[in-house]
Amino acid sequence: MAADLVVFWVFAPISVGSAVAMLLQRNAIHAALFLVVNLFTLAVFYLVLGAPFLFAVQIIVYAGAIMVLFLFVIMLLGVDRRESLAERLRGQRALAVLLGVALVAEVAAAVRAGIGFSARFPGGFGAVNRGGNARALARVLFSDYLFPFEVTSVLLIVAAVAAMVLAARRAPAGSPAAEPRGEAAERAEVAP
Amino acid sequence: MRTPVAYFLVLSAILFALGTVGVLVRRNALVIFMAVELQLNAVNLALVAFSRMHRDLVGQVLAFFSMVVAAAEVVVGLAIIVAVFRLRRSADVDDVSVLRG
Amino acid sequence: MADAVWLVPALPLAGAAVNLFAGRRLGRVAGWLASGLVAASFVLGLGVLRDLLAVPAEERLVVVRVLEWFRAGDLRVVADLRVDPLSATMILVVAGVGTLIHVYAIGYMAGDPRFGRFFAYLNLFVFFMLTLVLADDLVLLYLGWEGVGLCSYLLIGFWHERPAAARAAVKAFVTTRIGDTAMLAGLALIFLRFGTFDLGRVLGGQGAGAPASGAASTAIALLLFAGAVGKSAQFPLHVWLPDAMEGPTPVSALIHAATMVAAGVYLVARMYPVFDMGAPVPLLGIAFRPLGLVALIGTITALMASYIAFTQNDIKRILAFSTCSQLGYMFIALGCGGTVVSEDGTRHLLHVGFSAALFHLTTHAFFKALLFLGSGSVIHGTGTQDIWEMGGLRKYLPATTLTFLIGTLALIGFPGLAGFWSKDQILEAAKEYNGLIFLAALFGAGMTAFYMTRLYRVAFCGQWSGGPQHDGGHGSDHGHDHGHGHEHVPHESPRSMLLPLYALTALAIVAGFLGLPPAIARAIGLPEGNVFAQWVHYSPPQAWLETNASGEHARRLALPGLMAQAPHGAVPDHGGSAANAPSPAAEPAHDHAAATATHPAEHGSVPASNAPSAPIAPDHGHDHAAATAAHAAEHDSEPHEPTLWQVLELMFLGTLAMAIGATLAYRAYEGRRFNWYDGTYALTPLESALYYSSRNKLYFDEIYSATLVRGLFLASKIARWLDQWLIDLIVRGTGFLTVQIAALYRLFDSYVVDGLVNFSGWICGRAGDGLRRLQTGQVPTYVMVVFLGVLAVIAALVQGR
Repeated sequence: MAADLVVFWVFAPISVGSAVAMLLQRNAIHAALFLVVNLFTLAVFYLVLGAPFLFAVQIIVYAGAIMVLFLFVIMLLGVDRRESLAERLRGQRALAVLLGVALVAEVAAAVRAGIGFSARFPGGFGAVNRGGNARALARVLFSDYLFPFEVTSVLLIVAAVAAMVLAARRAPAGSPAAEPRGEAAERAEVAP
Repeated sequence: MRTPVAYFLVLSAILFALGTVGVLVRRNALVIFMAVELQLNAVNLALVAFSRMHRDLVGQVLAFFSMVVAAAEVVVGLAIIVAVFRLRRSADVDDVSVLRG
Repeated sequence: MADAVWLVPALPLAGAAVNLFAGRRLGRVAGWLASGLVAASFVLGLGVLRDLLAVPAEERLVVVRVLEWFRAGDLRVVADLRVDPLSATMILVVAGVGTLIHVYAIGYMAGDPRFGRFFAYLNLFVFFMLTLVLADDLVLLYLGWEGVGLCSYLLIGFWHERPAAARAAVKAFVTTRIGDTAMLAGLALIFLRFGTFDLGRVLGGQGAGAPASGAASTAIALLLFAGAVGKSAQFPLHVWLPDAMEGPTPVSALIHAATMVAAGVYLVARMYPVFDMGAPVPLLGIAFRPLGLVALIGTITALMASYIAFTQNDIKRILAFSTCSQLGYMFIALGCGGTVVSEDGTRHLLHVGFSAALFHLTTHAFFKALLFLGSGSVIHGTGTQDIWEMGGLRKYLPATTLTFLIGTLALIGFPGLAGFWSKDQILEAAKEYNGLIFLAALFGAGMTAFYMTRLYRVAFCGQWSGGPQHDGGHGSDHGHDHGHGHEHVPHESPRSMLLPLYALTALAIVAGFLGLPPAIARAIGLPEGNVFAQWVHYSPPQAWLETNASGEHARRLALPGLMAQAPHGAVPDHGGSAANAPSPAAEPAHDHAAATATHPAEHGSVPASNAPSAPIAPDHGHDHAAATAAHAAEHDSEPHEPTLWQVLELMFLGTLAMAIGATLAYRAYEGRRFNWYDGTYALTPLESALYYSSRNKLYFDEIYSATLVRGLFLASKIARWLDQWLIDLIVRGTGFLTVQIAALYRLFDSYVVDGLVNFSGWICGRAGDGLRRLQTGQVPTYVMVVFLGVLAVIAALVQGR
């Protein structure tokens, strides 16, 4: 159908454009917002590619949670100041752009060597998603990929704990919060 | 579907390259982090495209896991950045060059 | 017993080692130990003697293998010991007299701080001397030869704090060295000629170029004789012997009277066949056979030494020259032995000379040792060595005087004593050979009597003159303080010193009877005559005789009328096995030389037809008259020995000469002064010349010093100059070049090598500096690098498609 082509050609430039814009923004908050746009476009692509569940997850988790987290931190740290775009090393920016172009070219070359530019998706994807994409995913996830699933849950817990530890504010020395309660009580008792 | 597979893959590559350039060019730690996220997403796109191409759900599963891990990673990374910011009062990665030779 | 003969030299060697290392701790025991070991060697020698006597004469040769010494190419040197009558006799003389002298020395050297070392040296000397006489291999003999020379040096210079003693030791060593070098050349020639140093082969005339002899044998003989001339202090190498008296008196007695100086006689005796084989050498128009030259040197020495002894005043010097002279007599006897070829081409054996020489060696050892030990006793008792400071010793040293008198009488040939018989034999030998030599020997006997009587008269008779007039005395024997002589009254020696004197006296009396002329023996009813000559005599090697029948002529200086007897008869079969038996059979069988003599000795058989076997001997030495009747040999006139009248006539002549000399001296020195000249008028030039030339020992030392010694110093100066300017120049130049090259190396090293090293370091530094910049410490940079790598990998993968 031509519909997916249309979708593609509408959202692909948006995707790329927002990405470029993200890169060019001086303001971090602006950059974050452009990234959100990018994430939305990607979600659309997931939908088109027959992954409705991921479409939802992308929006909920990535755009909704992760980027929000980003924004929180940006605002917490007050880094919405303008950042200079001066180069660190001379020629680094040009070199980076060059390398980016080179990467794209390489991948294109690889793709062409591989499946070719005109290869279409094979049909019959519906059979894969029988019972709905979520159910199909669950079928695979809880059977073949059970172990990674469990590990991932542990990972999340670890990450959460790590974040708490890392970001915990250390109290200045001498304040009651920095010392064990017993000592503080002692000092309170000793001091008249 | 009439869109060739290659289009998605090239798009993914473009996004990935843009993410990399962002990592290399930007100085703000948070923006760099966001560029990394861009890279991850680009890869997820490619995974899903392949999943569709192979008529398989493995790619989707992988993309799913990738998202989860990215979330965890973001959490920890931001916590680190916060800690570093507190120490240095700056989020400029150029200042984090203790390992300079 | 013969198998254990190696103990004979080994025991004194052990004694030397012990005394050398532990001598100080042993104290007086060192002396007894040393003496005991030498006595043990003597006893072993007696055992050897008994073993030899138990065997018939032609089998008296045992070669005992001790060890194989070394090999070098074709040369193989083994340390074998040769046991035969000659070596057995030498063992007995050396060890016997040696023991007595050792005992004497215990008393004489008492109190000397280096007592132990003295006996170590003495024992070492005995070891070397015994090795020398027992050696069956010429290299071993040479070892002993050099060894006795070394010990002589050590012992002469024993009191090395005295510069005179040290000089004398060096002089002895250097002088004998001249002879030794010639001897070494002789040994080399022997090797060239015979291909071996083994005595059995050399003496048997076997080997490379043997037996046809001639020039090579002469050369060898003369070179070896040169060694003997040095060692036995013959003209012209006699100059060391008087100076050697600087050593302690026991040393003079043992080494320079009895044994070491006899080594030269032994050498000639041992190598007699080589001497005998030699072709005559023309000298001053006369063809001398090598033994003739030996006799000539002996004659010259005998007369010369006696001449010098006339005017010497040191008792030891007189005795030294006497020794020199008596050794000359021994060489005269040797020279008058061997074989001669008469004009008709037949070869005759002069059989007296060889055994006469060795007999005189033996008796001389006895009475000369006696005289030296006696002189030691005198010196010990009076404190001086100058005979003019003595006198009247009869009263104070009765034992010494008596023994000394007997020794003197024995030496001058008083009838009945040992020297009489031995000298008589020498005269007989000389008479048999050459009238001129006979006359000279006779005259020398008279001279000997004169100076010995002078010695006795001045030293022992008359009144005691008070001893040394100035402090210290003349005696070198007073390097250490015997003390007593500084008193005014001389005293007798202790018993330990007198006992050996008694023993030697006894020997000096008795030993002569071993050598009775057969005629006398028969006259008084003894069955055997010259026991000694039967024991030790010479028989030419068979192989040589057979090929040399028409050999060279030895012309003799004949004075008609005196050569009363025809030369003694033909040669080949007699003489028995004795000292120089070739014993070709002895080599393969090393244990006991079995002469493969097919016929045991009866009255001899025909050796010419017994090809290689040792000549068989009738066991009656010179008693030819009966034995030769049974011979079927090809000798012409029968050997006949002198008749009783001839013997008596000879004895009479000898005694007459002695009596004349003794009487003259007795009269001349009556009252202990020279009665023929009182010093109030000037001497005639002739008298003056005679006196001073005698007194100054014929100026030998001065001549040698002016010529040889100065020449040597000059040569060494030249050598030093060459060394300094040529060789040192080269050496220093090389050193200088080396230093310069080293400097170049240094330059190279510091600029090039170091430059490279520094450069590499600099490069590393620069590179490091540059590479350091990669480490920006900034993550994005690292990411860039990773990105680059990733791109590269992808490119590779894509290419791979």
